[in-house]
Order: sequence, then C-alpha cells, then structure tokens
Amino acid sequence: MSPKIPDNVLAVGAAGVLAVYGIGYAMTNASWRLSNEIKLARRTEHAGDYRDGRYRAVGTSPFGDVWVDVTVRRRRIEAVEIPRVTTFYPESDIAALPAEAVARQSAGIDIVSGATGSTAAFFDAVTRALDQATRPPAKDGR
Amino acid sequence: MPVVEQNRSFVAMDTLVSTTFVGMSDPAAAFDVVRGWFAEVERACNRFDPASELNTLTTGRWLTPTPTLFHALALATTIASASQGAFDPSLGHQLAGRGFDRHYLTGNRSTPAGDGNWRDLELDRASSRLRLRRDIAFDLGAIAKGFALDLAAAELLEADLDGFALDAGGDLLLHGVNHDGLPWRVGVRDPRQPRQLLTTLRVSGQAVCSSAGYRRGSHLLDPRTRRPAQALGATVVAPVAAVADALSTAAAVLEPPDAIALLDANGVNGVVVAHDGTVESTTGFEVDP
Repeated sequence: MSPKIPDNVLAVGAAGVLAVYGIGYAMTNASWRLSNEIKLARRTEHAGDYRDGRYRAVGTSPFGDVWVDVTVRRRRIEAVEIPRVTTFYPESDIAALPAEAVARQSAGIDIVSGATGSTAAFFDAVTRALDQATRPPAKDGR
Repeated sequence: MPVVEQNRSFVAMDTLVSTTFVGMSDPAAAFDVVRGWFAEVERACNRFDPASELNTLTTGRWLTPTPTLFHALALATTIASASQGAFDPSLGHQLAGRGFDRHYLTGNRSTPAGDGNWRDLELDRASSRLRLRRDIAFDLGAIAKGFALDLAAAELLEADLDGFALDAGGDLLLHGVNHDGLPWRVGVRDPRQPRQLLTTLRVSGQAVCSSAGYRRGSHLLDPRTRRPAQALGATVVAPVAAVADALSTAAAVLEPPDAIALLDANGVNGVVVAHDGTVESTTGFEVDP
C-alpha cells in the first residue's frame, strides 16, 4: 500500500469546477455550431445535395425515441433541432416484476440513470430526415 | 403560482444531453448555458478531434493549457491515484484497439499514439501548468460529461429557478426541486435487465452516474489487467458529477467489495451489481421505495 494519503477527490472536483467557472470561461452559441452542426454537415456524404426545407423524422431505440427537425437552406444543413425526446421508463415487462417493483413503477419517476441509447436514435432520426431531403418531392404519400 | 417546466435536448460528446428546467424565467438562456459548457469541455477534451486541445498537447515541455483542460486532467489523475488505477484516463490505446476510434460526428478514425500513462503527467497546481514526460493517449470520456454537467450547474445555480435536471446519456445532475416541488425522483436502471429499474432514489444537489457493460457493448476495461470489467455495472451518487462519473467507471471494474470500499474511502455513495447478480451498496445509499 502506498503511504501517501490521496487527495480528497470531491474537494479537487469542486475546486476545479470553481476555478474554471469562476474565470467566466463561457462559450457562445456560435462555438457550439462550429463544434457540432458544421461537423454534422461535413459527416454526411451528400452534403450540398439536399433540397431546401424543414424535415422532421423520428429515430428509435429500445429505451427512447428522438425527434429531429433538420433545416436545409441553400442545399446545406443549416440547423438540427431536437423538438422532442421520450424516455421509455421500464414498464413494458411490468407483469414479470415482483409486487414491490410494480409498486415502484407506479410512483412517478422524473428521470432514469444509466444509458438510454438515445444518441443512436438521434443519428437514426437525422439520417431519416436527410433521406427525405434527398428524395424527389413525395407524390404517393410516402 | 404556475410552475413552468421546459425540456430541450442537444447532442454533444457522443451522447444526447437532455435538460429540464423548473420555474425558470428564461429557459432558453439556461439551455444555452448547458450547451455552451458541453461545447467548451468537448473543445478541450475530445480525443477523437485532432484539433482538440487534448490532442495538441506536446511532450516534454511545460505547457499552460486552458483552465478547462488543466482541471479536467487534474481531477482525472487525482481519481486515478485515489482508485489505484481502477479509473485510468490513459486508456486511449486499448479503447482504440477495441474499435472505439471514431469521432461520433465526423466518422474520422483516430489512432492515438503514446506509450505513457497518467503517472507520466506532471501538474503544477500553483501555476496551472502541466508537462507530459512521455506521450500519453488520454481518454477523458469517463469524466468529461460529468465535468460539463458540473460547470453548467455552477452557472445555473446563480440563475433564478426552482430546479433543474440535466441528463447526459444517463449521467444525471439534479438540483432544486421537480415540478411537484419535491426532490427529483431518480430511477436507476438495472444492469441485469436494462428495461427494468434496480432501485429508485430521491435526489437534490447530487449527481447520479452509472457505468455498465450494457451501455455500448462491453467497453469497460479493467486498466490493471486490460481485460473487460467483471462487474455488470455501478451507480454512484455524489455532489460532483465528474467524480460520480469517474468513480462509477472505477467501481464497475472492481470486485464489488473493493468497489464499495473505494466509494466509502472517497465519501460518496453507490450501488454495484456483480456478474453473478449480487447487489452491494454503501451504507449511506438511501433508496426511496
């Protein structure tokens, strides 16, 4: 065993947050666009080939669905917004749960810890929206 | 008085970040605060981006990084030391070898170089400088989301609002009250059956972070043995999200008794599920049945 007493990790963490936040190292919307939306546009193979418009699509995962609104302007992705996210709280297998767990499910849950797979659902949704933007305008309702 | 609640989401750090603000006069501004801090931490710490500050660190000389990167690395190495390497922020190599080598937005492949580890990072806290004695393939993925949550919360706590819940891919930070005026009711997903809940907590002023093998395949490695983690998953409750994030990763690779000892030693609470389905928690881990 090392004789050294480790730093208190909570204190180091809190001090780090205060040091960074305290100097006002805030970023702007513009930088967020740079780091995300432009990369997203670059990532797509057909960048520049989209029809202008606003396209909504939903991506699904076992734990939640994500809706996106993709705005194409001058044939490029201008913005990707997320109007809605659902998290499926675990109630589908409710019949299989013991009574105690059923009681737990029925009480309101605000939020669930543990990964949801919703990032995959987001990219699924963006891909579907861009499919709409690359197809000719629909005539048969599809 | 009507309680206003607003939910909005964005994508950052390879994950979906969802925000809930309660009783907030300007939820759009609050949303931008969260988005801005995630962008800042991603700029500093993203190992998949060749232009990130982390990837432009050079070996051998004393450097003056931005406070964001300095403190992310300082906390990462502190937790690595406190966990005797069970949390290891220098695993870029091993992860890349297992296929975690693409930027989530650009799809660009990155092959981290570096034969050093976190012990080869020297930090001078007085001058906020650092030096890499050897090339190190850092991966701050298990601390960056939590750090961004903490920074966002620090700014939001100065705003006029009743409460907020931030969710970065299942890593949560909760403050104040929910729309019922009560502490947040948090379900902890069961790593044995991810569609079910392991337990339920009542939380305010705390982060709840989980690490589990089911997340994206089996991406957790025991840094000391270089083999996949044996535990199914761990959840940590702590007032600092970066600490909860990193310690949940460490706890998930340890045998449950060692994981519980690690959490106790660092003054945080949590629950660990072993591969055989055994559940162990710290004595202070309070469920809300």
